[in-house]
Amino acid sequence: MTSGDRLADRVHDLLVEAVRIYHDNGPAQEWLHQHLVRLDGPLRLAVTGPPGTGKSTLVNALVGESVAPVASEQAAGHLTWYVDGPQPRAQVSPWYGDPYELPLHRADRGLRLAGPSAMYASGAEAIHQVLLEWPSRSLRHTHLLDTPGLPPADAGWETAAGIWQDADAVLFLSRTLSAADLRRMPPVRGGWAATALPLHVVVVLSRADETAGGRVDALLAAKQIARRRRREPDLTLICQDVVAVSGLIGYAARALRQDEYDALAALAVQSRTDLEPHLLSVDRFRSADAVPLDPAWRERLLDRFGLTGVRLATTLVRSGAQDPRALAEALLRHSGLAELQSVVADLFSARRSVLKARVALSAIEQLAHREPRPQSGYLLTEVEQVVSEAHEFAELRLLAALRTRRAGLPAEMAVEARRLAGGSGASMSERLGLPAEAPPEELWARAAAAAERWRRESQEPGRPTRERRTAQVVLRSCEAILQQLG
Amino acid sequence: MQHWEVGATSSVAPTSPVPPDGRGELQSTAAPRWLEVLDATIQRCAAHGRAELQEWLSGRRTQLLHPQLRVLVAGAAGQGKSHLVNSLINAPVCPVSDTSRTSVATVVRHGEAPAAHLVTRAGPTTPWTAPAGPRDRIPLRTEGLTDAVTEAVLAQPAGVTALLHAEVEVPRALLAEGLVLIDTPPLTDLPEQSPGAVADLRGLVTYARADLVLFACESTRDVTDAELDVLADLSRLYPHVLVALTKTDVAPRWRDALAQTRDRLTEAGVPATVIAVSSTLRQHAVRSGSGPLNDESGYPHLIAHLQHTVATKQDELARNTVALLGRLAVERVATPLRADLLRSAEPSDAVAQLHEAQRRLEDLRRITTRWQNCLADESGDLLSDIEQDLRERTRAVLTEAEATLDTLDPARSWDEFEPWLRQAVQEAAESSFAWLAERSEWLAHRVAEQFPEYGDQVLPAWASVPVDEVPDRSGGLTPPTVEKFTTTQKLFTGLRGSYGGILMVGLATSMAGMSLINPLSIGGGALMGGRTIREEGKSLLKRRQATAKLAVQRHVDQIFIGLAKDAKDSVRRLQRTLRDHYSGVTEDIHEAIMESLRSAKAAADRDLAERAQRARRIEHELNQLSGLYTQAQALTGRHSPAIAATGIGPG
Repeated sequence: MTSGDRLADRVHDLLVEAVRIYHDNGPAQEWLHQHLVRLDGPLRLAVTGPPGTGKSTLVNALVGESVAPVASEQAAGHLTWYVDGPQPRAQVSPWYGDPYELPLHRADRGLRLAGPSAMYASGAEAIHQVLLEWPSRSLRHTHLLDTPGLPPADAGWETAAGIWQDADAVLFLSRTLSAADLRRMPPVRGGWAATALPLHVVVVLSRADETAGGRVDALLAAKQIARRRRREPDLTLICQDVVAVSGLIGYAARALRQDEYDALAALAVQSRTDLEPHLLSVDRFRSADAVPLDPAWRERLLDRFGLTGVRLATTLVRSGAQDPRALAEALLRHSGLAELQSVVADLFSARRSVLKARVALSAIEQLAHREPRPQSGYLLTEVEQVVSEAHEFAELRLLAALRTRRAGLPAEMAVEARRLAGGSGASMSERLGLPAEAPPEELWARAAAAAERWRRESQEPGRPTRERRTAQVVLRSCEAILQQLG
Repeated sequence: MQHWEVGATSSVAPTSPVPPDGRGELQSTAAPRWLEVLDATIQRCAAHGRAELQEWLSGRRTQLLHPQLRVLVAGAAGQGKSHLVNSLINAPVCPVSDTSRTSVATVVRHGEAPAAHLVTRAGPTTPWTAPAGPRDRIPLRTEGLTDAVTEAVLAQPAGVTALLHAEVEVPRALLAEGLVLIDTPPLTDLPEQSPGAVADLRGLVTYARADLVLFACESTRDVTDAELDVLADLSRLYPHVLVALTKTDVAPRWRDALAQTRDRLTEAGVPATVIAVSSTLRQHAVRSGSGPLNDESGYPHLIAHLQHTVATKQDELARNTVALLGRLAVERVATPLRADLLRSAEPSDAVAQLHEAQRRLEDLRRITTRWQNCLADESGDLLSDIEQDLRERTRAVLTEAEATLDTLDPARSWDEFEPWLRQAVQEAAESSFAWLAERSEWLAHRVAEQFPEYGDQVLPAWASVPVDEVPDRSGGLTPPTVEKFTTTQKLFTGLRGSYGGILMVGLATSMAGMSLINPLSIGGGALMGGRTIREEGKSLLKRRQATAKLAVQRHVDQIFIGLAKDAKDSVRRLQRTLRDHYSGVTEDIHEAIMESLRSAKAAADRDLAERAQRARRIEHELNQLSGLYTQAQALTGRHSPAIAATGIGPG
């Protein structure tokens, strides 16, 4: 039993209380029940951003299969949820009316809904969202939401605000991290700290393979940009982290097949200097007769990997990726998808209950403001109390700060701080860096020592305020462990 | 700075030396046709007082006469604009990096030796070609130029960044022909939204004195609607736009993008040349000295196009530009003229006044009939009402008088009764006449209401209609002749009555053996006699009362007839007075309206003549503009009917 569950319990109780208060209000009841159900469900992760930022490609990379986008002949611009299911199945929810099922077909890219047009002949934009069930291990604990491209400026963040409410966590994609793109994120609203802080957002510098004009070191350049930008104030205000990802290469890595590997290996047989002139441009690669690969295969490789991907893959094969598995791993690492997966695991999946609590609290808050009742004030006070007492939110912020090196602690201390704050696992033994079977006495001793050390750090007068504040958060984490043990 | 060159730019020797900042006028003695048309256009603008157009066209004129071709490279962020400029001249003069975006524009032109300056312009509307003072022109080192520019920009006070641009001179054959390349910061909000970018680019091309715009767009995506908007707006100022699709080396489907971009530009009506280029390939080609690679990069095509434009600047480009400018200027000048012409067809104030006067005359006619009818109707009503009123009042007096006469003896109380009656009749007459006065005033108002436009001013001046003093017609009422009941009469009547009594009682008592005259019979007689006297008295009183009533009734009737006559006279007098008054009022109004009608007619006639003259003048001017427009269009050698349709013409 970790403290996160206690927070979840308190939020659950608060939701039930709200249901009681709004017992005579149908829509409010529905809204609260939705959030009650969501509280125990899997993590809901939205992939969103301006048009053409590679959202669907990233969804495919995260799922590991070509499932996005789900296109339909009648409508564009609907939301698509991807969830785990025993067999592929698409359920369409129109804006008005009951949901119905439609058969699915594979398309060149993603899937296509083969719907009888008569069904929504009345209005082309009739589809609100599509729920796609797809047997996939990746979707078992995380539901993915693929969204249409966000329109610019104000309209953008209005759409985005809806998605923010629908999902527990958000991957915001941008090709350039330009101010115009970032303006599409909903502005920080008033309200309590938990709802105002961007604990649930990670910005993705997408299509990283095209950075710097698709230079040889495009992916590296993109990573450097991401590393630099994540510390800049315009981004720290709106997200937890910035990660550079090439969805195209990432997806190619996850779905790498033996024949593709063979084709790449055939290319890599040639020495670097021999091959390089043929990889200068797509046209050269297509028309290179010296390359021992038939044109259809070359076209296929371009389609799957892009020119940057082909360059990267051949280099990787040459430098020691001896089988598809090794190549896939290396590509995964270089594409940035591996980093994104670990970010999602650390910041989102491990903190599922906290993120869900955050959404539920914000939902209660919204309801209390939208439909004021005599007891609304009580609800708001309770929300405030839960937020101010929840150490989890502070921990999450600390972890994000440590990850992006904003905390200002020396490396050694940062590692310990990250562990104690639950960065490598939320259980007590993981936090204390002990094996799971360690006896409580040992845990106690270790926790007490850590608490003492961090108390000293937090009171050290020579340290900058920022570091002292960080130390205070770690100290509270230690105290929470002691409290649980005692 | 590197000094190698390759391909189309390999020869360094300039064919014709160009003065460093030569504002050289055209050499030929006879001014070309396009210059004549442009000058005529400028004159027209001046004649119509369009100073801003005149100034702008003069700027473009200077530009066209200048041997340099200034090419402005514009586009959204990260489209490879700086890379494009660098690759064209094979020198790293513009910062190419994802970490630092281009913050100030760089003007690259030919120079015998590499040189660079950071220029601060005097203000946001200062042309970039204006000579800058020594303090506003900071020399920069040419080694590591991009860093030098960044440092120099940072050293400038904040807020002037928008007024800065770098000027770089490099020895290049391509530039020696007169080509000037201008690398610019990214346009606002592109590639998704156009309003900001349109404004940005307009300002840039105007003040940077651009002759040609090279719009960069990466081929890894489709050209967006916002970019098309920007290009469409640009094509209103420039006859031709050059679009470079960059990064073809990494775009597997750049040929599709090229075809699609061409289609969409044609669809949007933007005259543009689209060229696909790859700066990366160009740099590889330069490094390896490979000709085929250079060809693949698309740069030779782009350079050839630029060289052609430089060579034909004062012919083809100038002609097309003047055709476009002529059209634009003529349209700008003609629009307000046409609006004027339309306005002059609308009814003016004078005509409106004329119509107003006519309308009022019509109204007055209707009003006259109305008030006359009203006066006649109301007077008739008043006549019958006042008669009825008088009758009711006198009848009430009469009823009361009769009731009073029933209870008193006229013979005895006449002196009290007569003054009362006189007063009652007088009071009734007074209240009736007061009511008449009220009704008269109301009547005057009622008639005045028939003049809704003139309000209270038509009411008669006197506060209330004069009603004669109530005539005193109550007169004296002579007492009716009364039959007196004298003592002798009473004696006789008593005797007559007592005779029967004595006889009746005497006969009865005689049966009892008494004599006919006995005390009993005398008592009976006295009783009967008394009774007879009383009855006779009563009947006499009744008769007196009846007589008095009759007299009173006749008297009151007489008074009523007199009063009714007076009232009727009053009403008739009133009717006559009002009729005279309102006739006078009507005549006055009629006179006033006629007067304004006459003056309005005169004004309308004058106005009409003026307008006709003005319309003729505007039409003449529009015809002149139309001629100018035709001349300008003739410069292109092709006549566009679509443009002609939106052109000039009266109306």
